[in-house]
Amino acid sequence: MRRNERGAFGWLPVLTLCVLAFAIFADLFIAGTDRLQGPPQRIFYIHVPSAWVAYFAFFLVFIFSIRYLAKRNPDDDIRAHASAEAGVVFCTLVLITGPIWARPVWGVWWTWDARLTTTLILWMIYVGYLMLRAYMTEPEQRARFAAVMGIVGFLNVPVVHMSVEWWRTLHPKPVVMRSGGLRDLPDSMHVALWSSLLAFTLLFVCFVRKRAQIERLNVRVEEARAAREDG
Amino acid sequence: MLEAIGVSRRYGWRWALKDLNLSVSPGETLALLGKNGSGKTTLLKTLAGLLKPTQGAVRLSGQPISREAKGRIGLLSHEPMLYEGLTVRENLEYFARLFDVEREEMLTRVDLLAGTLEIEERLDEPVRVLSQGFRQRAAFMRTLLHTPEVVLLDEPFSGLDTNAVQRLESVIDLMRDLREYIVVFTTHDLSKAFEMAERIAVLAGGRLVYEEDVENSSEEDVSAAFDEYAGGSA
Amino acid sequence: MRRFFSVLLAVVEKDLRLEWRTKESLLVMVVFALLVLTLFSFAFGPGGGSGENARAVQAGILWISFLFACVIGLSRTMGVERESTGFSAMYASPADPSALYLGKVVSVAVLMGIMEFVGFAVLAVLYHADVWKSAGALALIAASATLGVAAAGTLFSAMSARTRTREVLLPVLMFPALVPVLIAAVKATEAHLGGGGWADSRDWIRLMLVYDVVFLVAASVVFEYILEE
Repeated sequence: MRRNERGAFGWLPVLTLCVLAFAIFADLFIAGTDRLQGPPQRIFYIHVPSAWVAYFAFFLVFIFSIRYLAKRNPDDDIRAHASAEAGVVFCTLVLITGPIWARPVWGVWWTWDARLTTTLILWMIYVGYLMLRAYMTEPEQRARFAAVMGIVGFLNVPVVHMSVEWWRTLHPKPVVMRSGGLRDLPDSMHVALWSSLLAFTLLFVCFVRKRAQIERLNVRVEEARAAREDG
Repeated sequence: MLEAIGVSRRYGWRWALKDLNLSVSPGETLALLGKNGSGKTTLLKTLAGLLKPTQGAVRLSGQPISREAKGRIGLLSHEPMLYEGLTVRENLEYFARLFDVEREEMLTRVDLLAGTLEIEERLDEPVRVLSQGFRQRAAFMRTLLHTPEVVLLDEPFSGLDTNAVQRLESVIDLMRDLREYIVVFTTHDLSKAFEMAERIAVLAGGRLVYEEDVENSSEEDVSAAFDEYAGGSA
Repeated sequence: MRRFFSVLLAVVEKDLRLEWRTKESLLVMVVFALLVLTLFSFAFGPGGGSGENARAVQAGILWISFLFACVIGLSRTMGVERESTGFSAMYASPADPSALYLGKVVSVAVLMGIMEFVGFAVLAVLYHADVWKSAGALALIAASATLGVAAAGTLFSAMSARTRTREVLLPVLMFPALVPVLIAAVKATEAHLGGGGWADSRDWIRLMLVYDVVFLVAASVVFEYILEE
């Protein structure tokens, strides 16, 4: 624990900032304005990367949870926790940017679009995960229960998605404009999208590393406090 | 042989057990002494496989405590681990099935244990209406129902009247006549420890601070070990 | 295999016997379900409104009331385990945790099944729903949904029973995870209440069965980590 906490990736935040700056520039200036949707379409460059990062984060929670149960290394629990927190932040971004985009384009804030609805349920599942953690005090038991949540919650994602998709398609719904596939995007939009994706992923990694670092310090503080009380 | 090898266990942010080494052979009875919070209960639960050690290992006949090995261990914990709404007999039938005890065998065991514990007349009463003494007897029956080789007893006599204590002691005597058990029990009562155990161990702050055979030990020595630690930490 | 079922049955017998003695959980579940069914009638108008949408509203009301009642029932049964440190006792035994879990699921499902029977009967009376015409289909739908709810509910309530907030946390953990079951059960029930056939409900029943299998298998594997003290 004495080693430099910045570790071998001290340059990561700097790189992230650079990529982020480029991505913002690309989103606003390089990418052309969408002919149909106009400027609101640019929120797409935040919305899509956030969604990707959120799903990636929950996948990491799943992986770290399995690893924790297999090896009982407290650090895997800390990483799962950090990923879940960052994941919920990006998931929240998805849920905020979705309606902001939908309002000018579809005319309503919320349409119960299948993908957005799945994300909403996912958000609830992982807020539940964080609440479970918050209401438990015994660190080892908390780690175990949270890991169970992290595994079961993630396994549930495809089933949730399938059910919501069917729920929407087996139901009459207003005609929804669907943007064409990725292939239809002009090059300038590709640059913006992929640079944002990279920037958000790096940002996520920074968040998780920082959060895990803070949590490790928290553990040390709690242990030191307990040791002092014991005399 | 039941061994704890370098066992540490974290509970909350504390180390409830710290680098603890202990071994008990068949036919031997070990008394664990220590103040509240010294780690006695944690140690007993760890030996029973109910808690996993954070570091180190617990071994029974050289093997880690697997699920199957739990069938060879009987734990009497602070909590009664009995369903209040069921009768004593129904509780025992339930646990017999969890421990995979044949029905015939269970009935013989229940008769034998109930006779010695003098609880026959209360067997068909719900646990809810039983006094503390009878609950403890029922819990004792649950602990011994599957003929464990290792018997772990957490404060078996606390809060009981003399009659109940006598009944429990007679059951412990009875089972020791039947085969070579490994018995570990915790207690506050020094004289009880000397009366029943072959070996005495004192826990303080999750560490073993004193361990000696009864023949080479005296109540004064044990009290001294207690006081030394209490004085050092205050 | 014999051991597995012996343990499973032991848990079911123990739970149902305890329930039979007190009837605490079942009574509170049934009363609560009836209460919600009635209250929704006030919210949506008598019979769940009129016209095309009424069947959809009724199916929704029915399953929401079952879910709410189930939360209450689960809190009670898990409360019994907590008070008697039943989980620790289970973990101290050589019994297979999957068998213990599945036993718990079965006993929860049995209680829910009885409650649902009453619920459907009340729906038929209060909401003039034609329950009998498609009783077989509805029973199959209810069975597949109940299995899913019991599977998720048992796992989550075993966890929440050991937290500081206990009952409060259970719906927060359980409801989002049960969205697929709720959607499928409501849609399938709606189809049959509205005189539809298997063609309308088949896919939904399949979805529930997939959910049941995924959840039962996953939870059987991880239940061990919940039992551990």
